Order: sequence, then structure tokens, then C-alpha cells
Amino acid sequence: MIFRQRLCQSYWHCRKIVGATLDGFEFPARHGCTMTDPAEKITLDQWDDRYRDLCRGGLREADYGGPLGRHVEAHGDRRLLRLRMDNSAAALRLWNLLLSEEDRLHRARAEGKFLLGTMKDLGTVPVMAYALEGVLAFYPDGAWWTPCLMEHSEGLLALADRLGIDDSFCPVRAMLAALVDENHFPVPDTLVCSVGATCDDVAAIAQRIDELGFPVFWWEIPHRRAADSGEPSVELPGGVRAPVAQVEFVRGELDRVRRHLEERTGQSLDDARLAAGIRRANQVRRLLARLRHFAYQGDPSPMPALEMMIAEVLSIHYCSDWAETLSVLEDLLAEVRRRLVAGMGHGPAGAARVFWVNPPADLRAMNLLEECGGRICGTDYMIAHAIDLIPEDVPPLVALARAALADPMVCSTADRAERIVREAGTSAAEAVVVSRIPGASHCASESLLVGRIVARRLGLPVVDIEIPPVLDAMEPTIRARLEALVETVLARRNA
Amino acid sequence: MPTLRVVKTVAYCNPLVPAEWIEAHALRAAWVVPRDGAASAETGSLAGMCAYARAIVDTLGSLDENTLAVLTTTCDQMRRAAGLLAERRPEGVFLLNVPRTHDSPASRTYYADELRRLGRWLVDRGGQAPAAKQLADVMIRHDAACGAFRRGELPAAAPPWCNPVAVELAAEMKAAGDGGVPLGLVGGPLRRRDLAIAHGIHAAGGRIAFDATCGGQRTLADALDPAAVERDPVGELVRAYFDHIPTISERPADRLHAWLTRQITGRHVRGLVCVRHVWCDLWRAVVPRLKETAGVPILEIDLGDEDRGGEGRLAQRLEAMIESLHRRGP
Repeated sequence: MIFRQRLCQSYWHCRKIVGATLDGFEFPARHGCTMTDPAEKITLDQWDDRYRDLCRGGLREADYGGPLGRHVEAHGDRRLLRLRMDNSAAALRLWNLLLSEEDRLHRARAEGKFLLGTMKDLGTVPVMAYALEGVLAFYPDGAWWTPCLMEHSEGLLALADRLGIDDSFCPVRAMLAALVDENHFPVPDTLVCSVGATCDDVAAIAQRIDELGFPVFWWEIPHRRAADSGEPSVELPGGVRAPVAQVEFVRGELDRVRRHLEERTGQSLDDARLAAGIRRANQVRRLLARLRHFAYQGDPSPMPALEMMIAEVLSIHYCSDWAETLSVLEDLLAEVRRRLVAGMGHGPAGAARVFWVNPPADLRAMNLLEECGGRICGTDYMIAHAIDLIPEDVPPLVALARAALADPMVCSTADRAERIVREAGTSAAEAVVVSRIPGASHCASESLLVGRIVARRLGLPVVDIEIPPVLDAMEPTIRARLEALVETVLARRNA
Repeated sequence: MPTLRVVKTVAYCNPLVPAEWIEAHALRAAWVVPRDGAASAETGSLAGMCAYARAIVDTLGSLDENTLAVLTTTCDQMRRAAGLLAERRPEGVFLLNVPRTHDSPASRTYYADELRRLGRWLVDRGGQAPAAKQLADVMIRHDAACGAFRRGELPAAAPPWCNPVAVELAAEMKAAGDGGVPLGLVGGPLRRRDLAIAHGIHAAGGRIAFDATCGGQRTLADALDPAAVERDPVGELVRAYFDHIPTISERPADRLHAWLTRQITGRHVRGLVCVRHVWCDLWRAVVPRLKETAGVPILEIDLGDEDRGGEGRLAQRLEAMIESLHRRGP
């Protein structure tokens, strides 16, 4: 009875907080979780016990499932030993999907599937690739988290040094080394890279990749600008605008990508197929939008920042498995709803609400934020355009061109900051963290501009924190900065 | 030749901004060289910012309102520098979108459209839309001056649209004559104080056989075809600039490397001096390929933004390189 009363109170609390109904929600019995499982962040050792409990409770897993500890033993993902992870079966599935990607790609190669390596566009070209039969698209750029996950034991950054790409470049240089040493993901059948209004790091490193015998198909993404007076413009996903002429130019470039994919795969990539690919992408994006809404607005936070960041990243290429990405997101959404209904979450209610800009090079940064009393209420991990819905009422390549131009990295920092202001405002953010990526060309000036614009428009405190791939040596400094930010937020509440 | 009423100066620092186009709009085109000296408090605080982009922001940000600025998207640091500058002077900065790829005709059309957009922007700020004849006249006049540069015949007073540091360097190269160990100078744009590299090379017994820095010989527009200028001046500008100039930002970068290979072979250079501004990824990433393909020793020099210091070390490094080349023989 008491539990039912609490459930009702929580339900109305959630409705008030998240402004959306949880009606029709069914608890996910298949995962071995029970209604009373508390939300906890646990170590990898604790996950061993938790895994056994879940199995005893009837956990059913996908073929890439298993205990998380095996990723340390089999793949050397030692960073897991330093992370605190969510204890839900949904999080287990999420982690297993993420950490099994290289194995799944090798298996796909063995099965004769076509592998497309797409670089920099973060969310557009995979929509085209997954519209084809037997094609998997992935981002070699994703190797930028490998030095973190393996705590440098894999030697990718040292190899990149030897290949002439030193630490004046951002950690994405790991992708060059991963292509050369072939110990991580398989060498793709073709590589496609967007260039133009992109960071210098990827433009330079992808050129080096091309020179080392991995031919790159380049396509142009121009700097998104405001329409001139009297010039026709169109709204893009995310509520930003671009001149029609720029959309048409990018449509032409994506048409070149389409023809390249047709030529390399021997399949037709017609509008009907592309439209189906867009619908599939939007299925993922709708789910993710709901998950973000509940997770970032629920109080206490029903899903940790770390797992939510990984969930967001799934949207760019579905972690090489569209169907599983859907299932993982459905499970996460169900878990978040279960916790919201039960009034459970991580940390106390009322944690400092932080809007986070840029993905951190070390996953542990997200743990640190929560350890310091903060929580995520909104994000711009440079993939906002991979989360926004792609229009379905215009020709597919036009829709994809609009999505590509909505990329927060192809416009000016001031334009990007405007969207951050808008989203930080609607998510009731109390502070903004601009996470600096070491060596990244865009990071030099963006914290100044983002900070200035956010402060001017919202009056929020902003901190700029550089996060290296393994932050341990910097942890006291980073922790001190995050604690100071949280203290500032709490002091402002009482002011 | 019609008389042009020059009302404002348009400052730029990239070879893909055609000075003829600006001057045809009755404005004065001036290649701006960032001032030497310490960075301002604002840009000095930006860790990771390219030293050259930082200096450009400081220099252009302090110019009066009669000076307009045109920056380009040819590198991310400069693209973002334009954003910083626009914060200070929202109406005075134009960002010219220069495509990095040349695989599609759409890229050169895009560049041509950008020039037209720049033209409209200039007209909105006091420029005059040029008639075709006016544009053609300015182009032919520029081509004559540019042709002299291409031949190494330096005018007594270089026009303001030339990179003044490149002009000074060219004069120094000419004065040095044909003696000494021939070296190629490769890299990003030089500031005035970076001429210390040329002084050091000459003092150590070397000579610069070609200047492939930004603003030097590599980045001169192609000679114009008078008939094409008459027929389609904007199209000819696009050909002479976008189609011809091999840049570090182009993808793939094959044209740049082909140009460098021709120079290394044709001018019998025995070593390369590669200069790059600290945090310039594009030039940094060129060096590994050059080491694999150039066939001559390469000396890398980072250009920082410290106010002074390092001259002795620079001279020693240049001396050591040239001495080692002397010992290797021709």
C-alpha cells in the first residue's frame, strides 16, 4: 500500500517535472529487473555480482551480451575498472553494444558485408549507408575513445606520433593508428570524409590516412552562414536556418556520395531506399528524444550522465547495428520511466543542473561531474544534428542536406552558442561546462565565445575544462573546477 | 583606364581573395600582415589558438571602421577567428567560403558565387558594382604586376594587395643571388619577424630557391588569358585563383605536393625548411608526407607567438642544417 502511494506521488511528481505522461508504460519483465531495484552506480567488480543476480532473475541478452568484466580481460578496456556504471540491465546492454562493436564489425567482414568508414559528418552518411542491403557504416573517428578505454595500453597515440601526427592534434588521431595497426576495427571497404567547415584535425588526419594507402572519398560541407538580405532560406532541423543555395549545394555533394556508394556496393540507392533509411533514422531519433527528455528533466536524475552520453552517441551510426540500437534505447527508456515512476534516481534530488558542451575525451569526466554534485540536464556533444529529426516531407537528399547543414560544428561558434542558449534555457540549466578537447582546432576560441554569449543571454556560470583521454593526473584540478561550479550554482539558488 | 574613387580599404590575408575583385569595386585591397608583438589579453588567453590567427584577430580588430576585413574558411582556426572578429566588428567582417574539394564542378561554381556575394557585401559598404569592362581593366593591370612577380622582377613599390612580407622576402632572395646551398621554404604565412628565418638561411650560407609560404610564389594567381578576361572576367578569376593555386587546405592535397615536387626537382634544392605556426594542424600534417617523398632533408620550424627570444636557437638550427648539407656535397 505504501509502495502504491509512493508510486502515485512519484507519478504526479514526474508528470510535473517532465511535463509528459508516463501512461501506458509497462515494466520490462524480460530484463530480470524488479520494481524495487534501486538506481545505483557500481564498479566493474560489483557488476560481476549484479550480472549473476540479473541472470538468476531471468535476464535475456542479445548475442553480444555477457558480463562486462570480459571487456577488460579480452579487449583490454581497463578504463572500465575506474568507472562507475549504472546497475540496470538496460545499461548492461548499452555497454555491451558499445564495447562489442569491433568484434561485430570483424564478424560482419567475415560474413561478407560491405563496411563503410565514414569520417567527420557524424550522423548523415550512415543514414544513406544503412538504406542499403548488407552494408554497415561506422566512424573510424570513434577510435578517439580507445586510448581512454584502454588507458593508453593499446599504444594508438604513440603510433600516431610515429606516423607524424603528434599531440598537437586532438585524440581523434587514434583513428589513423587504428587503421594502420588493424588491431581494432577492420579496414573499411571504402572511406568517406566530409571536409570544408570541419575541424583541421580531421581534415589533416584524413589526408594522412589517404596518403598512407587508404583512399578517401571527400565531400564538401560548407560553412553554414546566414542568408543575405532577400536571399531565400529554409529552416533546418534544430530550428536553425540556412540559405536555400547552400542546401542545394550540399544536396549535390550528397548525391556524389550516393553515386560513390552505388558504385562501390553495386546496389541502387534510389529515393525510395533513402526515404526508408531516413524513416529508420528517425525511429532511433524519436526514441532518443524521449529518453533525453525524461532522463534530463527527471529529478533525481534517473540515468547517469555517462550512460546517457553513450546513448546519444548511438544515434550517429547505430553502433553498427540499427535494430539493436533501437532495442537498447527502448530498454533505457523503459528503465528511466520505471525509475521516474518509483521516484528513484542517482544522487539526491535538486543536484546542480549542468548543460555540457563537447564530448569529453575521458568517459570518467561524466562520473566526476556527478560525484561533485552536478547532473546533466542538456547537452551539445557536437552531434545535435544526429538527434534532430530528419524531414520526411521533402526529397530524401534535400532532407539529408538540411540535416548535414544543421551540424553545430559547421556554423560559427556564435550560432552554435545560440542553440546552446536556447536549449540550456528550456532545460532549466544552472551552469554550462565547455569541455575542451586537447588539441582540437575548434576548442581554442569556442569556450570564450560560448561563455560570453551564455553569460550575456542567460546569466549562467560557465567553466572551460580540458579533459585529456585519461584524466587521472588532472583529476584534482578538474574536480576542483567542477566542485566550484556546483557550489556557485547552489549559492545562486540561495541568493 | 577609369578613375576609381577609393573610399575604404579591404584587408585580407589569404591568396584566394582576389584583390582585383575588391579593387574593381572601387575599394583598396590590402594584404594585411599581423603586427609583431605580444597577443592581446583576450586572444592571449586562448590556449590552442594558432599564433597567426591570433595575431590576425588582434590586428584587424584594432583597425578603424574604414577598413573592412575578408577572411576565408580555408582553415578552421581562421574560420573561427572570423567569428571572434565578428564579435568586435559585426558589420565589418566577411567570411569567404572557399571549397576544399575540387572534384566537382559545383565547387568552382560555389567559389564564383561566393565572389559575387562578396561583391554585394562590398557594394553595401560603399563599394561600386563594377561593369565588366572595369573589372577586365583592373584584372589586366593586376596581371601585369603579378607577371613581374612570377618572373622575379620586383617593382620598386609593391602594390598594397601583395603580401608585403613575401615581397620583402623575394627582394632578399634576389639580392642573395645564386650562391649558397639552395633550400625551399615551405609553410604558412609569415609575419614580418619571421623573416629572421630568411636572414638566418642567408647568414649560414644557404639561399632560398623557392618560397612556398602563403603569399609567396606558390600562391600567385595564374597568368590571365586576355580573351577569357574579355569574355567572362569572373570565370577567368575563378580559373586563375581557385583552379590554379595549390593550397594546403585542398582535399586531396595532391596538387600541393605535385607543385612542391616540381619545385624541388626543377630548382635542385638540397633541403626544405618547413615553417608552421604553433597549433596549425594543416601544415603540421604535411611534413610526414614530405619526409617520405621530398628526397631531401627537412628542417621543421615552429613559429610561436612569444614576443622575442629564440633567435639564437633558430640561427643555430639553420646553420646546422646547412652545414650538414655542405658536408653531404651536391
